Amino acid sequence: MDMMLTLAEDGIHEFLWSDDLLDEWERVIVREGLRSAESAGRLTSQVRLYFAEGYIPRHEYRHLVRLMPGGDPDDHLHMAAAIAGRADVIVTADSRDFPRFDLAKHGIRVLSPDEYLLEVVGEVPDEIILAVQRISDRRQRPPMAVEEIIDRMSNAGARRFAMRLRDLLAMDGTDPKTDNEPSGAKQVRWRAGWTKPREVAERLAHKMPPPYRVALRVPKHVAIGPDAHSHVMEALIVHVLEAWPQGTAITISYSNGTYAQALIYPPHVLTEIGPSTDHVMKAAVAFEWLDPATFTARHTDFESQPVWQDNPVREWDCTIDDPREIGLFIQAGVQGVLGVDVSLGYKILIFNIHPKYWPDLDGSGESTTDS
Amino acid sequence: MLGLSRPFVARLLDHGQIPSERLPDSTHRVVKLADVLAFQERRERRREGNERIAELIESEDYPY
Repeated sequence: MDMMLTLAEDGIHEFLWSDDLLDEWERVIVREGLRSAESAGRLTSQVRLYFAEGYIPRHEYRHLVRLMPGGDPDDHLHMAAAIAGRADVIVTADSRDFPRFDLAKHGIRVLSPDEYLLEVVGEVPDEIILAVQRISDRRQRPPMAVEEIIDRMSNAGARRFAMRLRDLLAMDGTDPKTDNEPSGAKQVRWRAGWTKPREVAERLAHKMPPPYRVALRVPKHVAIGPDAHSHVMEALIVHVLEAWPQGTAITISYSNGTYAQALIYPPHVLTEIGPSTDHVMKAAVAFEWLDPATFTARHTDFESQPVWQDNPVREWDCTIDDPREIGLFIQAGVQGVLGVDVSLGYKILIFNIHPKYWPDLDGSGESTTDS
Repeated sequence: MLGLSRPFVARLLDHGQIPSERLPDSTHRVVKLADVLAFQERRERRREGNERIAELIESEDYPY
């Protein structure tokens, strides 16, 4: 909660709360012997006083409570409040009690603290480091160094976020954004810098998902041929799906300027895809996600095509949940549809399929995310 | 004025934490001074709140 409130200072996000939420928080920390009831009450009264903008009064969500899915009545209160408060994300360590699909219909994602913080640090790394620094500065008796705070967050479950923070601090201000964009990336103005191949290898070894938006360039001499290609893709996709259970799109660009995209969804997610490209469609056809008989014209915009509106895969209920199969899909899309040689060397761009995460195609501003 | 990075301010504007309007045919945006001051005021207030919370945590013998 310390971290969540600190991030609210500069508007990195808004912290939404209800009486039910703070009451439950008090009950839990008292039950676990972390504080006395009086002490817990003093803390929450500060939240009420200083974060008053995030208050969701009970009368705004009372009528929604009985409509909520899932088993735990306490969580029904929080889900209803999140909907009434138009939250983007519910951050909870008990994500199993919050049915992701039902909440996705209200535009709410369910993330663990680790998942959430990992996403935010991918977006605004400098601001997150400053926030951790402020937490450290405020702890004087006893003093608490930044490293100790990171260790505590790691022990509290935000393990991957802690790793990312340590990486960032170790980087010591070096700017990876000076590398040149390859010609294949011209369709999209990527603001993210390259992730070093060594860093990607480390992440995969630690079963960490890549940061929120990654550009990965694999030198020619490292990965040659379809086997190496699908191996890298398989590993990446597993982690991507872990990081973004709502689904993800992947763009693979080759050094000769061609590129392919793939849409990746776990089988339990029903969703619509946003503005997309011809290449995505071709790849979807290559893997029989889409029946080519249902369209003939070239499309630049999926959403506006009548055929797309009628196509059953709009409700994306595919059965592809095997990373190997997804890896083969991408390989098929790249080699079969575009006819490129994977030994040319390639880079991989990954971004979340949620429309809010799509890059700004006209380059007029930053892409947006939760608040 | 805010001491924040340019991309981060762009993000605040995108999210509406500071209201802004785009100029026609331009990528530039206009913000009202009062809105920026309101944001700054809220920011300082929240900092104060978190400082109070940190003091409370330290003044009692419980671990956080």
